[in-house]
Amino acid sequence: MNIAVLSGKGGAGKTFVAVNLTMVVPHALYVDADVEEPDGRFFFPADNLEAKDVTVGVPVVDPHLCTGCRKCVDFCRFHALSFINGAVRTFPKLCHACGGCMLVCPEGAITECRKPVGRIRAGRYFDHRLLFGELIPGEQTGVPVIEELLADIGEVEHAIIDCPPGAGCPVTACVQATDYCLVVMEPTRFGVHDFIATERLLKTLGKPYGVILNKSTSASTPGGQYCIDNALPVLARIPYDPAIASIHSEGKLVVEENEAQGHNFIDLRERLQKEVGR
Amino acid sequence: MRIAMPVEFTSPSPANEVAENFARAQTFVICETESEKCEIVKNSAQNTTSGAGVKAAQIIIDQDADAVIARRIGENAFDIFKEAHLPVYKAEYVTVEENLAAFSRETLPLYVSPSPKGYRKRRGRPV
Ligand code: SF4
Ligand code: SF4
Repeated sequence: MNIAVLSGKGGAGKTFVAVNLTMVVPHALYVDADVEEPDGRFFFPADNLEAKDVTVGVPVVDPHLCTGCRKCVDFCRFHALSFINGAVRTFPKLCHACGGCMLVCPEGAITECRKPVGRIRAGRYFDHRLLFGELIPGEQTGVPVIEELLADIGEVEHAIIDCPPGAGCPVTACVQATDYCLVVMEPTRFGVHDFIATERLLKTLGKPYGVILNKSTSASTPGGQYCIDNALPVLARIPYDPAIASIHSEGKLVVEENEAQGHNFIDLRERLQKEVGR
Repeated sequence: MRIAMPVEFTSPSPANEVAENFARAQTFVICETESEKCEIVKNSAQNTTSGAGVKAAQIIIDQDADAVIARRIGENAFDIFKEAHLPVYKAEYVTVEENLAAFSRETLPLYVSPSPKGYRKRRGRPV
């Protein structure tokens, strides 16, 4: 089973859920796809990480072939190309590497040059394979790094993917590669608002999903109520507990340090297996 | 000479204020210094999510402007104007008219580097 762990906003507890869930699923692969804020690495004391660069193709214009028709400039919706003094000027920082300008150029004047945008580190922790993605600060989009992280996810038996927050392109790239989505919700009104945005994305993509209520204060919260009203499966509740927060904040795994949470995550794994098997 | 300035108005008037932001201004006014005629060009870069400075600078260049007067200028737009040999002057006065007069007296300072990042005029969400 391949599980995407996501949330509408940052700080809801995605990494907390993803790293601890990984530990209770034997041989599960952990993927940190939150490439703009990669923090999964702090929870696995794995050294000897193997690193490789992720590159994208940005355009290079041959001034001898370019006739100045401006088709490429007009095409680029990210405004990464401009036409100055009779020549095309490229802005690689703005380029999303869609390849479109190379296709629209009638003269074949545009070729691609590889530019690094991020890095992937691979390691192990006990029986778990680990993949950590990182985006180079200032780069436009983490999607190329995420696509490379998830390139052979289909061949893995169990994978837990720690996704970026929000409901944009990077999240979409993660969700498309998985069987099931686990949405971490802070059960406040604010949390419900963010959840609804995520839910719209998952419905559009047609992915099954369930909810984890994190920092849950009581049985009746706006988040809990939303799940009842919409008949959504709540697969686990994690209490609002300073003891849990303090273990996590020290970079330790709660399932290794706190027995009750160990059982909570095993229950979560079992419920997930049923949900995914449906 | 054709002088371009970012503004927030759709009909030209010398009393219009120069906008706070270059790339996110609603329109540009292009003034002919000889004839004192002004025309308005829409800024189609106003609500783009990426590369507004590049696109806005392209609009000005395509209008055959000879110089730009702005309150702030971003890095990408600054680079394009530099490459196109278009001088960018700092708007030190409130209105289009006052800045044009100062330009003619050659008292406006020239930008030699882009404005610091992180400034965006507060406004409602684009709809
Ligand atoms: S590859 Fe796509 S984003 Fe990059 S310059 Fe070409 S059209 Fe624009
Ligand atoms: S589309 Fe090709 S020929 Fe036309 S301006 Fe761009 S690079 Fe030059």
